[in-house]
Amino acid sequence: MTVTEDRSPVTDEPAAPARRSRRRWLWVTLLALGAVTVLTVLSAGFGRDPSVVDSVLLDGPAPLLAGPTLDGGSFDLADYRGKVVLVNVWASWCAPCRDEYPLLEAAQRELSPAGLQVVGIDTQDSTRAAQRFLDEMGGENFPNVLDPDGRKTIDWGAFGVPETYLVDRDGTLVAKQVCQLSAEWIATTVVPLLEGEGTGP
Amino acid sequence: MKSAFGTLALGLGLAASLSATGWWVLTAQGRPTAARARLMTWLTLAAAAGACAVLVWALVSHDFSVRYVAENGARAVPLYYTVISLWAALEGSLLLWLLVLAGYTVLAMRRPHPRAASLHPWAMTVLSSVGVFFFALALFAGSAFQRISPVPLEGPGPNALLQDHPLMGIHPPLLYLGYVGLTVPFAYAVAALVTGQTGRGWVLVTRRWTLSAWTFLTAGVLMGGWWSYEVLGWGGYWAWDPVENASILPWFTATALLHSVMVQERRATLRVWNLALATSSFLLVLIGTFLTRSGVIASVHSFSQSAVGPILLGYLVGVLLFVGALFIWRADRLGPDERLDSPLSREGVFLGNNVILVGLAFTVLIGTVFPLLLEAVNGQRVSVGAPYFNRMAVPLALAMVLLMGVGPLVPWGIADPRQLARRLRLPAAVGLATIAALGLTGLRGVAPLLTFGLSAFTLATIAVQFASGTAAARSATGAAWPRALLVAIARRRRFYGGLVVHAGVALAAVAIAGSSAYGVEGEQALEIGESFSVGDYRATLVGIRPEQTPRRRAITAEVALSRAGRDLGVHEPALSFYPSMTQAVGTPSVETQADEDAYLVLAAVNDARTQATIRLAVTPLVLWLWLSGGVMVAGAVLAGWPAGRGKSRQVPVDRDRALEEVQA
Repeated sequence: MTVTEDRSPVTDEPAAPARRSRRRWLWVTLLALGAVTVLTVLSAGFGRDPSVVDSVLLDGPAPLLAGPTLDGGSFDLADYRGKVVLVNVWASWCAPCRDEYPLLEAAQRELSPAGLQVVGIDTQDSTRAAQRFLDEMGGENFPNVLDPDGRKTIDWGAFGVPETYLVDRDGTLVAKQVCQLSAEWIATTVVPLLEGEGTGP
Repeated sequence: MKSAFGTLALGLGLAASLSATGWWVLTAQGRPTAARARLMTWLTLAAAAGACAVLVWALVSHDFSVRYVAENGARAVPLYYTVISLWAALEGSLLLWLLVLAGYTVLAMRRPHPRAASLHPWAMTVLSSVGVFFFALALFAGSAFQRISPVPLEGPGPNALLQDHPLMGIHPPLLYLGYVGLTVPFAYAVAALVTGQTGRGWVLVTRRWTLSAWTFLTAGVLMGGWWSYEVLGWGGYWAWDPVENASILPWFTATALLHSVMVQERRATLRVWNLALATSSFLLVLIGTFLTRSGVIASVHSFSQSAVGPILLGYLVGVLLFVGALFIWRADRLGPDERLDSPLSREGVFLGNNVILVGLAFTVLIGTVFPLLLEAVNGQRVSVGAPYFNRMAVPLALAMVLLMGVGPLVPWGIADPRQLARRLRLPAAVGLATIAALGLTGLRGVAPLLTFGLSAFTLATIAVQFASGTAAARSATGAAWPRALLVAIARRRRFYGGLVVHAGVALAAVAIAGSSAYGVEGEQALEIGESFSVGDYRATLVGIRPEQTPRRRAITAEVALSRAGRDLGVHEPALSFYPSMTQAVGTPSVETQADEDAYLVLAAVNDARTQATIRLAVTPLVLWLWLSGGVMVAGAVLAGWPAGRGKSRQVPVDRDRALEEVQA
């Protein structure tokens, strides 16, 4: 074997070669650029509450939402221009979703004459479990878009379940609710939007 | 009064570390100030320990006039969780950080390495100056000891997730021991750059420091995964959460450093690379601390936003600029590198391993800060999910497992390809046979099968080396097998310790692949008395039991579990409601077995308490992931434990080398 080759003590500290100042300036520039990048990128998140994660998408056009639904049909948010749409991200494995479901169902039942459409995004869930969830809750009266890999949820900027988004008649995302919905939120945020003919709350 | 004591301790620590920095600089310049510098360094440790002790005292005595206690203490919390509340929130965890840093500083001070005596005072300067920063941070921005008036009668208690499992008492300290331990290699790397002695000296001193930090970090990361598995209730142990990523980033670079220094120990090469790995490990520690402590990324671990974030960022950029400037200033001392004789050599494999590890670090870093990057550029908000990390990291990790098997068989210098092929024949056959056998039994999936095959290959190469080492020792000493094995290991502890670590990593790879590819789960709402099945497991809801203590309200489901008709007892997954938290905290119940875990979660209970939604996940091989941590730590301890008194104190490296020559 050749393992023992080249075992002579290493000559340790090298002599200084001639300096090349141009290359040095290149490195200085690169270092400065690197530092500025680190500073810019890492400071991007300052000055906001980490639990409020909606600041950016709000008041802009709502993200796209289209695809097959749990009942075998399909849904496209673009078809609902002119209606106020309440988008609810849920999953059968999420306990608060269970609690807020009756509220969504009631909203669809009572407010759809005024122009409301509720739509669910069933995220990271198996169709069977979701179907069983709906059966237990007494059926569905609004469409639920399938999102098994969580892509659509990411498009909407959701960090967890449940989260609920409100889209006005012009297709603008006007409000977001993290965690479980309350009747009060529907009364103070959704209802005025239905009455106010497309203006924000 | 405790407020005053705590603030005093921090102030004292700041003053002591400032003056220690000064005295160490003077010592480095040849002044006779070493005694004073040492005294001040000891004082730093005393101050950090004092600050921690005062805060624990305040926590235990429920002194709500101290801000940290008012925000994180509660009378109903058991003593154990009260004590470990020291690291339940940002300000307290800064104190633990300080204690660990001061402890390492004192340990690094005690006995300068004979090969790097001139680096020692500079390294101590760097360590002390890091202490200055963290003392100042704890004193001026952390404000744990601020006095609250009027004094509240009761506090909210620590974050509910942190008072739910005893592992919380072990995971953070281990992680800190790993994280902060990387400051020592950083300090010596800076010392090497400052003095211009970028040769072997600093590498020899820091090898064992890096290894011990690496060992703690490994244990800490795995312990974190275990905690998350036992507490968070989603059935997994790793979610590529930004803060999990932060803990593994320096692990990658430290692992790379542990390998690449072995090259520089033997040849004058890789100077810049090793210095860059040591300094970037520390920078990644700072980035990780920043990500955890600043709240810029939403995560289960992040503490609330405070002034600490911007200050840490400033420090991070400052260190980056300082180190970069040192590199540019010392550019003339960093080369030229000796060329490698052949890519097919131990050196070549180490280079490959380094490229992969740094690639992993880079991939994970980009994925972690990408949301911030995009937000800085166009204000868009995205989250990078597990699919990205899995797709990017799995191939790199598999390549790493392969190299881990090949590397130790390849000699230094130049390898003879034919001889290497001969030595790899048997392990390769074992690997292929494993894939074929598992494929025939019906396992599917390219990535997991490949992982099993590569791990079997690597484990086989390790077994071959243990066997041939034992055989050599047997023929040399004439001892029987078990004794010959011990003799072989004792002669080359570092080498065999490394092999044991490799076996641990291969084991972890198997466990990760198996548990992420072959799990099954199901969820069902059960009335009391009903049951449902997942795989060959059957869960029956026996009862629902509410519980009320001043600390929390809990609902426990009693679930009888059986596997293929065999009774596994009654398990009690629970949901707890803490007064300070709006959401319920789940406490899963895990039936751990050698081949697979059955993981029970109580997802929901109806108001009448007659029906509970139970989730049952069956995950193979999880136990082996925790065991692999033990194997890795054992291997690292075997490799790094200081040699006994007497025969081998002087120059361990040359002894290793001589023995390797004998064996080759």
